[in-house]
Amino acid sequence: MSKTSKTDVDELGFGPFDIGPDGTESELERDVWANLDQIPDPHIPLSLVEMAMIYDVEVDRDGVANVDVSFPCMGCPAYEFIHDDIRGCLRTMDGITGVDIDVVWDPVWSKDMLDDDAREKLRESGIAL
Amino acid sequence: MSANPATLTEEEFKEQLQNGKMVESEAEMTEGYKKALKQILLVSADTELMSAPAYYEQSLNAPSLDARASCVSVIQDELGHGHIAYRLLEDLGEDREDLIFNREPHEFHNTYGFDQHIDNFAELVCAHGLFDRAGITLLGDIHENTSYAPWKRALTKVSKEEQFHLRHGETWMRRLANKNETTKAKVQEAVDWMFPMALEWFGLPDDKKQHDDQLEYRIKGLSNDELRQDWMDRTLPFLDEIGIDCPAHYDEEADEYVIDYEFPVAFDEANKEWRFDEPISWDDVIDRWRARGPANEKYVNLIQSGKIDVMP
Repeated sequence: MSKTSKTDVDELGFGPFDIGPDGTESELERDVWANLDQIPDPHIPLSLVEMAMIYDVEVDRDGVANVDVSFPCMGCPAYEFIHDDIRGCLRTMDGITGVDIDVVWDPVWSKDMLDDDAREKLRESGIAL
Repeated sequence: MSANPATLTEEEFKEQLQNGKMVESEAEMTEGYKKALKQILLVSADTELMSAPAYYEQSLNAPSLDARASCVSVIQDELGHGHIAYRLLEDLGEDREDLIFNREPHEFHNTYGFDQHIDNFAELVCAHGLFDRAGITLLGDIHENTSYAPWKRALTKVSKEEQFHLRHGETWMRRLANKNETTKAKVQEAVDWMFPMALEWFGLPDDKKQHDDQLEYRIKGLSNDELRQDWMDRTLPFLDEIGIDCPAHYDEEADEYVIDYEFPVAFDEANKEWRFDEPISWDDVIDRWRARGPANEKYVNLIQSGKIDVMP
């Protein structure tokens, strides 16, 4: 997993952002995070987890994965693809009976949520931060 | 290390490049290399740029807000890709402003496909599916094989974005092909004229080319026929899967894709119809390209006017 659950306060005073796994996950939830980390952003050479777009994962007792997702911009051109990818990725997992995606805008996604590895990958592919 | 290119013959320079030499800047190029590089960069820049006005009108006709956001994002990407290629040309002594705003429409070197009117949403997504696939085939080869290091680095971002365009195009082609007979027929009609146009895009067959500077200087790595095969190898199985016909098939014995007509043939621009019983020469094809297609002036004017009227 490349994301940590807490990020530092940014230069504008935002953060720390309480996103990502926080160490209290069940084994199944950890597997869900690991699988989400395999889904490439359709536009940018990072996974959805590396892009800090997955805020929270909770698998309830019925096996439904509740995934809180946010987007770097409200008019995301890949909005539908990303929903499809998350559903397609989790639906086939053992122990998962359903996928419920909740798009959240709080906290507002910020590039300050990207960790150093993610930043380096973006730089290598010619994307300025 | 290698000698100053000014003291090398073109043949010696080609040999170094074939042995893996990378070029970082204009100072490291021979005149021949620079000329060949500028030629292919200009075609690439113009093709990326002119895809934007070609895609524009029908993007606003997308059937959902998500689809429209995707389509508009494709245009934004294409303008960005054009910018990258013009910027690389600027390193080689060209003026970006001049190239974009001070050329006549017929002086643009974009692929002929982006001189065509795209008349409905099915045509737009087929262009994303077929033409962007051709773009990925061409640029993917350059990304992997080119000796010009700044272009290679720039293409990492371009390749990823083109994959998104392709996914968008193929998702919608599949959706329309599966929806009902009417929408499927629209996809078929679009593929009928776009498929042969994409085949032509890869250019002269290898046996008709005397020599290929772009290959010899390793600006690209694969020949026209290899690229055409690569495109068919990815496109035909997809069309087959969604039940759309095209005039080519895989020949088991020859272990390659074969075009089902005497390639190339005449094109009726006004009706967007190929005259499959009217074979022409490659000189004729090049004359047709040089004369530019029916939407060339409109698209160049749209770019050069610097503004777009959102409502007609």
